[in-house]
Amino acid sequence: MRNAFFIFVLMVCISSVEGQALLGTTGYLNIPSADMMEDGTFYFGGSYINEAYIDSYGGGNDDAFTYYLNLTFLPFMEVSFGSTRLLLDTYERTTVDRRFSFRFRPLRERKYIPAIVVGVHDLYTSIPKENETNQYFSSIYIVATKNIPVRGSEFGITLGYGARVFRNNQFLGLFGGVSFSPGFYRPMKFIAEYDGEGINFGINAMFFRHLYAYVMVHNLEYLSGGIAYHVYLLNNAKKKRKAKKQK
Amino acid sequence: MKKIIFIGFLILSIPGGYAQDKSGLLEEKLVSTGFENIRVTNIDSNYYISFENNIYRWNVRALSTALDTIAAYSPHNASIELVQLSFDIPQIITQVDAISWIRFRSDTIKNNTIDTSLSVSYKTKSSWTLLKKQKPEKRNIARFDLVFYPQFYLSNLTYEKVYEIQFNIAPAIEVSFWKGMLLTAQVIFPIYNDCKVYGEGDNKIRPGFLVLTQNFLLPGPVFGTVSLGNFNYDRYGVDFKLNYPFKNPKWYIGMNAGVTGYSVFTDTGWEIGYLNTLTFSASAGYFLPRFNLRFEASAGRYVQGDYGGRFDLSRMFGETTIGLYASFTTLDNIESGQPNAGFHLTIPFPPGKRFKRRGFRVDLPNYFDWEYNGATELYYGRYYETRPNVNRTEHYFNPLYIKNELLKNRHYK
Repeated sequence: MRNAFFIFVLMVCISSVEGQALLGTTGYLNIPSADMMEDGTFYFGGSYINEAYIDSYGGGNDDAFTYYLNLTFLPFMEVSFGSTRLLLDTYERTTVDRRFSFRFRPLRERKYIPAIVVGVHDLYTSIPKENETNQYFSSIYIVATKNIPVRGSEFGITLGYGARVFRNNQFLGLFGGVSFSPGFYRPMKFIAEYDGEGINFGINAMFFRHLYAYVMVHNLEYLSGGIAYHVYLLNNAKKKRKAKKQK
Repeated sequence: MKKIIFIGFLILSIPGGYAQDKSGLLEEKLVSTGFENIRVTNIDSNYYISFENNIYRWNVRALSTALDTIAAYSPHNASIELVQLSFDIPQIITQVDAISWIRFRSDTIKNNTIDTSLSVSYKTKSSWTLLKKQKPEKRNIARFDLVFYPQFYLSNLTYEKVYEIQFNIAPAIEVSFWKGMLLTAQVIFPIYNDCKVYGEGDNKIRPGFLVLTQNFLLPGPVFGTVSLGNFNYDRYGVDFKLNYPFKNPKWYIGMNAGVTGYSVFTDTGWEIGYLNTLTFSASAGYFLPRFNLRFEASAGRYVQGDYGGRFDLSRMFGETTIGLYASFTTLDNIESGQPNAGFHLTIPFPPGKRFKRRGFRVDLPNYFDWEYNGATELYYGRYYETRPNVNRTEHYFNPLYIKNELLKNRHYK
């Protein structure tokens, strides 16, 4: 009983956490948000992706697994690298599809002003333009997010726009979502979002400050989910907690 | 309470009396901490000290510990000038008053106060002129290190496997016999190798780096290195490096030139080609202290005779360095050239404090470095390395970085 209580206290001893999307960049479930992880946050993880979600890769016939690394390289810049591999592959191919992504935050969130982030995902391919593309997860977008604390809980709202630049564009036109972190456990978020094609629901949570997990339902039908491990290279969170204690 | 005890201990340990008597004690304390090439002298209350760190993984922690010891065992009005050495060659100097350092470490002054009284720079000349005449205590000469370097490669080149993996253990004997010198003799023991495209023949026990390196310092200061022997990327030959930091230590330039030939270990023996490949490069860099961010651009001629350039953006998160790069090489027969990009990382290897070096020490490397090469280009746009521990943290003595980290880690023990 004491152990269970101790574990619970450890879990609760974390302030709110930024979420990360299916492919490893900071965001809600599928859509990107303008939240940005704390400077120096590095995480690696993997997601199971339902076949219905990735009709551009593998023709929507196979589920996929993606793994990724993400780093808040500067307080206003995030870089991400990931690879996706089709599962239950019908071909004798086990190659992976790689992607590099960058996100820049020109405007930080203030009391009445939302944060704004400009992002480009899966931006490079070595395949010539006249051939079939292998940029299955590319997108370029601008997104705004505002988080509103209410009595210890927190509501978030995100609105973004994806432009048609690549041959495949993961986010086209308007997308957006809402999130809610309950006051009794702020590292958890309930999320509903529209990704430009369908509506997704899901939940994410951070455990013990390092272990992140989420599960989502695409289009109210297909299940996907993943886990990641977070490392804080600048250890700012620890320092901030210490400073807060001293105050 | 802990803080009060720490301050009390530091104050009690500040001896009074005559400064000359304390030099010997100070020397003893630095030796017992595990530092090497220790020289201590003083003129009135100015204490000139040099030391070399081969015990702490991170130079910043070594410097911090050395300053703690010196501040505790020198008179309270001492002004410290501490020269940090590498192979008995001065790299940087740290200047601070003993009492300011004690107050800083015991949390009784703010960062902006210590900021003005703590200085780290390349200006070692005047202090080193006084110190170099002395015979050092605990010389770094003829102390053998057996360092077990792990080597890990991943490649995604075939349809049959997601990743081909190669893992080797490469122990190296590292020893210095005279000032500035380092002899490295490494053997590679393959542990696991399923690489079919590149590295199929890497299943044999084979030599790695067999290199004689001479480090030197020219006026300026210009830091130089000459290396002779068997390098990596199947090269042997001679390599020459110079690095010049400007008076404003944010900026630096460097050059590198080498003449190498093919060198590979096969079933029939060691195959060596003619020494006829000229490689060279020039580089320029800028360090942004606010983020510990380093920009570096370089251009030159690579091992395959291709010409090209590379731009690196590296950030130092304390002891961990992570960076991004983009490069481009041109060959006569490839009109469009070869673009490439990727990332690199240098991560610390535990523990933070190593065993003291006596005659012989078995050790792990201080850092593990790894580079991801997006275009899977293993031939073009590449230089060889001349030592197994070439990375972006271990030999980095930028005064701005050192000072930033000293200020950030005031509670580091």
